[in-house]
Amino acid sequence: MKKLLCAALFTVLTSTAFAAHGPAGCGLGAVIFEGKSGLALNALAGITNGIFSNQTFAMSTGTLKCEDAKTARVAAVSFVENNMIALSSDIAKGEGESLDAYLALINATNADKNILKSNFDLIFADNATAQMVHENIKSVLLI
Amino acid sequence: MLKQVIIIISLLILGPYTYGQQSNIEFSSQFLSLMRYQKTLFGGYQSAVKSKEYFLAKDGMTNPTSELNASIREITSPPIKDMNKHPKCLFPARVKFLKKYKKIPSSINLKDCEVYQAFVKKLSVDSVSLIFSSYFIEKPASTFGHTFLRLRSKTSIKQNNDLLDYGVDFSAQVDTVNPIVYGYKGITGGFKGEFTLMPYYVKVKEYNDMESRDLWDYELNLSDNEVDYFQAHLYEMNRAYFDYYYLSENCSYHILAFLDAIKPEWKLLEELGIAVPPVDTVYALYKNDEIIRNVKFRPASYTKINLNIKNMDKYQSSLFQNLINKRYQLSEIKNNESDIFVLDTYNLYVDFENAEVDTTTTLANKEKLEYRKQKFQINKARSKLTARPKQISYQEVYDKAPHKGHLTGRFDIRNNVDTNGDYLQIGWRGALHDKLDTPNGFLPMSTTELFSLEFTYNKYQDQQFRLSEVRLANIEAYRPVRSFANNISFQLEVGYKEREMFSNRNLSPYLDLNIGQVYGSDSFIFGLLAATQNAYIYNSNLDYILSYGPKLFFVYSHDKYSIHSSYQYLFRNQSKFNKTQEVEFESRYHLNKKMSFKIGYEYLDKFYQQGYAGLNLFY
Repeated sequence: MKKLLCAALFTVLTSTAFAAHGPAGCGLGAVIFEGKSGLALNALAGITNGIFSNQTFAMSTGTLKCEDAKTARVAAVSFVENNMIALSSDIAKGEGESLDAYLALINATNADKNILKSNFDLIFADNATAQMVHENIKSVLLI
Repeated sequence: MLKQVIIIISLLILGPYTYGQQSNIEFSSQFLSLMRYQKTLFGGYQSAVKSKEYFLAKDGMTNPTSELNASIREITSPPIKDMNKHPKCLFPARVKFLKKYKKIPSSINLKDCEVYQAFVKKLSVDSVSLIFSSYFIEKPASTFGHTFLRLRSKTSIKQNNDLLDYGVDFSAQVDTVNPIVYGYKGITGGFKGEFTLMPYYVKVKEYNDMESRDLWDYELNLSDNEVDYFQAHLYEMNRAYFDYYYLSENCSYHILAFLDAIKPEWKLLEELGIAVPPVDTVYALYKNDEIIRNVKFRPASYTKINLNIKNMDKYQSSLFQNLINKRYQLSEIKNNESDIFVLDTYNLYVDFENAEVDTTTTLANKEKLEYRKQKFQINKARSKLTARPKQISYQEVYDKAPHKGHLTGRFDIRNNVDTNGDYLQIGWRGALHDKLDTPNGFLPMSTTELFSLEFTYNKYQDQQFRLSEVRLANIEAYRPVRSFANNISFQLEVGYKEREMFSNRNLSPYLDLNIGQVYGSDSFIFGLLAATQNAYIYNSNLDYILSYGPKLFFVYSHDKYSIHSSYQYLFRNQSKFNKTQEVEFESRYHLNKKMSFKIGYEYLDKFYQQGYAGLNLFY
């Protein structure tokens, strides 16, 4: 019985501990497990980061999903990869934060969002990759 | 005359020396915070930074004077081939600090530190916000809140778009998947804690979307110079790691320690207790009017859906239900304000339902493909519609901001009258909130309490004053069944307490677990739970007691008063009291954020009753 209580206490404490532990952050682990939450995955991501030890400020190296969102073309594709669903919702509505951010990344803040809206079917094919969506948007906007 | 000459001469000789001594900048709050020195019990200093690379003196971790001297020496040392590795370029905040106090020549600057300059250019921070990621009871991970920083970049001001900013997080580098090892290491400082930097959209996705937590943005009142100093110190933190203590030196502690290093006069760490619930960092920011410049909030997906549904009329609700139950085709949605509002809400609902689907893996992921396919179908239909949906105001959520909540520590004192006479009870709660405390700033109908103690003073008993209960954790998540979410509610309580029906006064371990469903709103719920109580009673003829049975209850929660009442029928694995009934009632009146009155009554079958009245004091 004591063991049971101990185990239960640890379960409570460990589950509450996630709150403060947060995500595994940037780095190799984050790439492999990104998008999942929960004990096992967060912890796994942490382990991977621990092993490769490239966690802190991985962003400054311009790799591993933490690249500078504001410079390279890779960043725009990466943004699409990370925000594909939200971007599709925004384009369908013809407005939204993800769409604005993406347009800022490709230096097209003045683009006509309604043209993107009316070309939704062209941009988002079922099997489109982030790269394809990125190219599709650019061709619709003629840039 | 001679006397004056002697004074002047001694001033000339000793002047610079005494000046240096008097300034003692290594013991200034700015240097101590920059280096994270903490006073030890024996009057010395010890830095919370555990990495040697953060110090320039061998004994720098424990000796501020020698660290300061080494910093002056190393920072002014001759240039090297790769200046990025020069101490000057590794510790830009220290350079700024020493320059401010004229300890190094003003000609020393950071212009030839290429990597640092690129870092500053990339971040180009305009302002810094502390973000409080609010509670979400659906997941235990979210019950206590989280804090991190957001850096508003100069280049994204014009766009006013959070997704283009950066987030800075303090988190543990977890190296185990074993939950017991995880818990143990988390509490004893077994993990390394580090600052990490990432695009803010990663944080938005993680908290706002995947965990459905509202993000509260408290913009800090920092001058341009202080923002520069912030960036410099952030760069230095690349070389620092700490021991991570889940309960004390956690994300919230380190975020405030960081801010103290930038603006020592705020003394934010002073506001924290030994254990630090993240919301306490928000309270610390309100110690005076000058710290917060602006408050913003990003509603989570669950918050948006909930409010949208509240704003629907009958027609819209039924349309929404039909969409959820697939009784209605997307093509039947009409191009008008009302229908589009429902479709947009349904779209949010689909995202919420798929919050944990990993959308960044390859297309081979089956869940992701299905989710994408469904979303593209909805959005395809949505892209054909041109009317504008109505806008929803989030004011009612904003009015219940985290900084409006009560303090999280609590003392309570009550006078009890029970079957055996009257006695006094004094309680203490470490953190955080229970369902009857004033609800603003916290999750409605929830309890998250860690570590509570109860002391009893009873003049009729041998041991007049004694510890009568230790509650290690009490979690209650009452989530009313919604049209879009068929939630399970639960309560879990673990601790040690005396049992009324046994004569021995030992604290006996117990674990109560209730599971069921509740109905209602944020202010009133009633529910039915399957309730079990497990207890291990020392020195009794039956050491393990299992009680189980149905429990009916209701809770009413209001800014001014709250009521809870429950009835439970219990079966026991014990011949004497194998069937009993329990009734509980408590009502509280909230005088203000710091005080509430309470009265209550408990009935345990025929043999035990108690009534009480008392006071809760929050600190």
